[in-house]
Amino acid sequence: MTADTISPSRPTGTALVLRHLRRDRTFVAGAVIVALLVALALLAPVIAAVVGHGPDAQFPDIAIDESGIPITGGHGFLLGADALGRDVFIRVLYGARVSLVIGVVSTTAAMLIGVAVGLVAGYWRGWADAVLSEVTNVTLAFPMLLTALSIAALNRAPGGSTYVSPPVVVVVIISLFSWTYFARVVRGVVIDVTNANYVKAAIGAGSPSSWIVLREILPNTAPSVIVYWAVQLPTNIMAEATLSYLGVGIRTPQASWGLMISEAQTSGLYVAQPMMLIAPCLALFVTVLGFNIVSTRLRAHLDPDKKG
Amino acid sequence: MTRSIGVRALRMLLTILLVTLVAFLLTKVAYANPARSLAPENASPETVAQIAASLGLDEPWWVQLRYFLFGGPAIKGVRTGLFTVPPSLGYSFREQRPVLDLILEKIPVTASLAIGALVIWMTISILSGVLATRRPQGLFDRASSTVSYALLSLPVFVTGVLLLYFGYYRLTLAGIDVFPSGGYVPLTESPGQWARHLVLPWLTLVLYEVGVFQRVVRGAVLDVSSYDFIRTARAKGAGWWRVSFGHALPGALTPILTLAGIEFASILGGAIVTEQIFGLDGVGRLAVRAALTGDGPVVIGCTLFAAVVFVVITAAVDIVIDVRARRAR
Amino acid sequence: MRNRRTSAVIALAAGAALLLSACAPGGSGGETAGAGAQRGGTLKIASVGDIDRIDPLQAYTAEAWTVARATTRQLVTTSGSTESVGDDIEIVPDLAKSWDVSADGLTYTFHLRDNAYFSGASTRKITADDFVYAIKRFADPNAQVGAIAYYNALLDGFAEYGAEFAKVKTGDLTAVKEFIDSHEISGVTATDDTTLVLKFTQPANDILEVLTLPFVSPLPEEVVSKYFSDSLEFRQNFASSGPYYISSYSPNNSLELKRAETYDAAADPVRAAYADTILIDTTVSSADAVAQQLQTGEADLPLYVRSFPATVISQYQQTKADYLHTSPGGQQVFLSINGISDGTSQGQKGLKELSVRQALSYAIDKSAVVKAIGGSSAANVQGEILNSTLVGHTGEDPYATTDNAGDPAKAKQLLEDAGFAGLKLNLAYRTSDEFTKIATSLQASLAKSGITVNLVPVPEADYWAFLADSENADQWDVALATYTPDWQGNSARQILGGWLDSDYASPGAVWGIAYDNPDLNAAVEKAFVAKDPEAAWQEANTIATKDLAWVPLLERVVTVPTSTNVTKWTWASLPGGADWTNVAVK
Repeated sequence: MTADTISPSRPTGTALVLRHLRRDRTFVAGAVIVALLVALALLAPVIAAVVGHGPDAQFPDIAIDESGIPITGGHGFLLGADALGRDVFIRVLYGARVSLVIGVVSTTAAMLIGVAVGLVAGYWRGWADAVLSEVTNVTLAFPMLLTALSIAALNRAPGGSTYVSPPVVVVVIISLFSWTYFARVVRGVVIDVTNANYVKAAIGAGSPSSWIVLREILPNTAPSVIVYWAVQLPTNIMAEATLSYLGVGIRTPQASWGLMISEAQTSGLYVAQPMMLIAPCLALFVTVLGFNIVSTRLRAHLDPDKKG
Repeated sequence: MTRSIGVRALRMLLTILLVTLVAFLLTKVAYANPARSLAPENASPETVAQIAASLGLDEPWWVQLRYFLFGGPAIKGVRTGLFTVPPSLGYSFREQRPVLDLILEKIPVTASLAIGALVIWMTISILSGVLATRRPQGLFDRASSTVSYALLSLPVFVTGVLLLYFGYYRLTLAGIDVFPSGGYVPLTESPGQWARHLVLPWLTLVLYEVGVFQRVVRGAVLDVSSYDFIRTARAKGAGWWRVSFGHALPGALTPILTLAGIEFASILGGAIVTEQIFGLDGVGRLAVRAALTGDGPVVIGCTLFAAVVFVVITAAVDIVIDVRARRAR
Repeated sequence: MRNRRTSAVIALAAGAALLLSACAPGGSGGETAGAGAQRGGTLKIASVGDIDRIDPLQAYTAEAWTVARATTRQLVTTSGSTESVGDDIEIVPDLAKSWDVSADGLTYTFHLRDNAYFSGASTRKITADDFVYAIKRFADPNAQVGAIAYYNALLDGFAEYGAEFAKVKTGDLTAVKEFIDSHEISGVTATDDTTLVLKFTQPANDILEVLTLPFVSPLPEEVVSKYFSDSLEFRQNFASSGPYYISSYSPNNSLELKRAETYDAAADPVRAAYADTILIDTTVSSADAVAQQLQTGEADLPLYVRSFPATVISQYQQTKADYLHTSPGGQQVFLSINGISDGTSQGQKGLKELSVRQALSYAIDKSAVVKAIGGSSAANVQGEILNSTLVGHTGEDPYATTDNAGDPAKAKQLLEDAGFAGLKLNLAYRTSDEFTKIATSLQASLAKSGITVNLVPVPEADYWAFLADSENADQWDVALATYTPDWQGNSARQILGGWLDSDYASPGAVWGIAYDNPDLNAAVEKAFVAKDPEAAWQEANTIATKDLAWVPLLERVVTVPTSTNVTKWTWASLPGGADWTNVAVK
C-alpha cells in the first residue's frame, strides 16, 4: 500500500527484462510458489475426485468422534477434518481458487477503473480532474472494513438471500477501495507523457483526443500499471481473507481461507485439530508471500528508479 | 500560502461533507428497519411503530437527513444536528446515548493503540531499514528483507490470535502471568497496567507495519544516498552513522512520512480486527458492534470520525513535508 | 416431580421447608464436593459483550435474568437447585412473606416483608408502592415491558391503562411521570406499605410463575422516573432490591456488583449471597477466550456463551469433571415451517401436506446435527414439541429413526407418493457459527433423500424480524428456530398456547409459525383450566408433535465449565444456568 508513484520506465526491451528476471533467484522462487499455487488450484477438482471428498461433502460418521471433535488424519483425510467432517486439505485447495479468482478479478477491475479515471483526469485536467480527484479523496477517506460491513448489510436486505452473489460483492468492495492507487499513478504518468514532444506533436497535428489517449498515452502507462497490479494483488487477496474472516465476505459452505480460519477459531476446535487453523493460515501466508516476492522483483526490474 | 491553506481547508470540508452524505444514504438503505430489531422479539407492529416514532425514524429520509445535518426534534433528550453549536452526531439506538459522547469516550483507547504502535513500528523500521543500507545485499539486508516479506504476508487477524494464544493462554497456564487476556486500563489510572494490556495488541499491529515500512525506509534511504548532499557529507569524512541518520534519513523522509500518515490514520480511525481480538473497547469495536446490530447513527458517526482523522492527518503530513521542502530551499 | 399444583398453600409449605434447608450451613452440597461454601471473595465473570438489559422492565434474556437474580427481588421466586435447571421449579416466598388467594382465584393479596431495603441509588425501605410503580411502567410508550402479553391478558384494568398511556408523547420524561402519577391500574393496588393486592381477569394455574419473572421487581419512583429505561444514567443510578447493587458500571467494559451492607439474609430465604463482589468483565471476545480465562482461573463463570468448544468440554471431562456442570433443560432447536406464505413455491406447497413434513422429519440425520454442535455433552436429539423439563413432555418420538440417523429411503418413498420427489427447500438460519453448522449439516443430510436445500443466511440481529415479516415469506420455506421456556415446569402455555394455538397466536409473529389445528386448540383449552395439567398438556403435545407443527431437532444440554475457585454450585431456572447468589468461590 505504498503511496509513492512510479515514473515511466526508460525504454527497456521486454526480452531484456525477461532475461534479468530469469537470472533473479528471488524472483524465480516467488514465481515457482505462484505457479505451484495456480496448478494446485486448477487441479483441486481432480484431487478431490481422487481422494473422494468433495469440498462441501460432510463425513460426520468417520471424521468426527462421539464428542464432536474432528479427526486429525486417516481415512484419506490428509490434514484431518473440520467441525462438520469436511476434508481440510481439499477445502484449502478450493480456498486457493477463491483467493486467486477474487484477487485477480478485483485487482483487474480496480486497475480498469483506476486507469480510466487516471487517463481522463490526467489528459483533460480542468474540472474533470477536480471532480475525479474529489471522488478519489472521498474514497480514500472512507474506512474500508466498516463500509464493507454496511455494504454487506445492504446486500442482504430485505431478503435473507442476497441480491448479488457474495463473491461479487467482495470483488466490488475490494475494487472500490483499491482503484485509487492506479488512478493516482496513471494520472502522474499521463501528465508527464502529455508534455513529451511526440505527444505534443500528435496534438498539434490535430489527431482526435481519443486516438491520442489510446495510441500514444495508454501504452506508456503499461509498465507502471503492470507493476501496480502485481503489488496490489497480494494486498487484495489478504483483503478477501479479512472480509471473509469478519463474516462479510464469502459465505459458508463455500471454502475461503479467511472463513476457515474464523471457523477454526470460533469453534475452538483448533486446540484438538490444529490443522483447521494452521492449514488455511499457512496457505494464505505462502500465497501472499509468493505474490509479494514476484511483485517486488518485478518492480525492481521494470522500474529502474526503485532499488528493491 | 494562506490562500492555498484556505483552499485546502475548504476541499477537506467538502470531502468530509461528501463522506457524511454517502455514509448517511448507505446506512439508511442498509439498515432498513432498525426499530424492528430494537423491539422485544414478540413486540406487536404497533410497538415497533411506536419505537420508530420515538427515534424519529417515521419521517422520510430527506427529513431525517435535514434533522441530522441542521437539527431536529431531540430524541430522548439528545439533540441532533451536525451543523449546530455544539455539533451533535445524533442518538445511538442501541446504547441510548449521544453518538458523539460514545466516540469521544472510545478515542483514548484507539489512540493509545495507534500512537504506541506507531512509535514502536517506526523505531524498528527506521533502525533496521537504515541499517540494511549499510551493506546492500549483505547478510543483514537479506535477513531483514526476508523477515519483512514474511511479516507483510501475515494478516493481522492471524498474528493477533496467535499472540493471544501463546502470549496469554499458554504462558498463563504455564504459570507465567505476564500478559492479560485483553481489556484496557486507562493511562491515567495506572501507566504500568496500561502498557501491560497494550503490549500484545501493539505487537500485532507492529509486526504487520514493520513488514510494510522496513523496505520503504530502506528504499527511500538508498534513493537519496546517491544525491550530492550525501556525497558531500561523506567526502567531509562524516561517519556512516552520522551520514545515514543525520543526512540520508532526513532527506528520505517524504515517502516515509506520507505512508506513515496513511497507515496511522487508518488505525486511529478504528483498528477493527485488533480491537475485536483483544477486547479493546475502542472506536473500531464500537463501529463493528453498531454495523452488526444496525445502529445507523453510530455507523455514520464512526465513518465520519475515520474520515476526519484521515483527512486531517494526511493534510498535516503534507504541510509538514511542504514546510520541510521550503526550509530546505 | 413435575406433577405439581401451584396452590398457595402448597407453595407456602414448600417454601417454608426450603427456607430451613437454605439456611442450613453449607447448603446441600451439590456436584462440587462442596464442603467449603464460604462467604466472601470475588466472583469473576467473563462475559462475551455487555449485559443486554439491566432495567428489569426490558430484561428478557437468560443472561439479563442471571444478573437480575442478583440485583432484583420479586414477590415470589424459585429457590435454586443443586440438581438441574429443570429441578428449580418450587415457588417460594421472596419479598412477599405470604399471600392469600380469594375463593374465585382472581384476587391475590401479598403481605410484604417490612425489613427489606433498596441499595445503590436508593437505600430506603421497599414498600408495596414500589411494586405498583414498577407495574405502571410496563406500558410506557418509550420502552414497554418485555412480555406485555402476560399482563395484558391477566391483570385487571391493565389493557385500558396501556391504551391511555400509549397516547403520551414519547421522549418526554415529565409527561411519563405525570401520567403514571395520575393514572391507576384497577387490578394493582397497595392498601398499605406492606400489602399489595393484584386482581386478575381469569383464573390460571401459572399466575405465580408469571410473577417470578423479574419484570415485577420493585423500583423507587423518585430515582427511576428521572431516567429513560435502561439508559446509561439508569444503569449508573440503579436502585437494587436484590442482595447486590451496582457499584460501578462502564459500558462494554465492566460491571461490578457489591453485596449491599443493608442486605439482611434473614429477610431473604433464597439468596445466600456468598460472594462479596461480583465482577463482570464484558470485553471478552469469544467463547474460546472465555474458556481460556476459566482454565487459567482469571474468571470463574461464563456469561453470554451459548455453547463451549467441544475440545474444552472434553478437557474438563478428563481433567476436572467436578468443575463441569451439566443439566438438561436448555434451548430447543427446531425447524419452523413457513406458515405465512401463500404457498406458491413447490416447497411451501409441499410442506402443507403432512406426508411431506413427515418425509422431511425422516430425512434429517439428527445425530449428525448433534455431532456438529459438539456431541452428546452439548445437546440431545429431540423428537417432540415440548422439552424434557416441561410439564407435558411424553418421551415418545412418533418419527424416530434408527440411531436418529434419519431414514432416507422412507423419506424418498413418502415424497414420491406425495408427488414431491426432488423437493427444493429454502432454509433460513441466523449466521452464528453454530447455526451455520446446523444448517450445512441439514443440507448435507437432506441431499441424501433427494431434497435440495438452498441456504438463506440472515444476520443474527435481524433474524427474528426477518421471519416475522410477511414481506419475506417467499424467501424461505423452513427456518432454524429456537425456544427457551420463560420458566421451567408448567410453562407449556407459552409454547402450545401462545405459539401454536390459533385462537391465541397471531399468525407468523413467532418464527413465521401460523399453525392452525382445531384439535390442538381444544386440547390446549382443556389444559388451561385443568386442575392437574400434566395429562392435558401431554395430549396437546402429542397432537402437535404427530402433526409436525414444527420439526423438533435437538434440546441443548446446559453445560457450564467453571474455574477451580468455585466451591459451591447452584442452578436457577430463569437464568437457565448458574445462580450467582448461591455460587461460592474460594
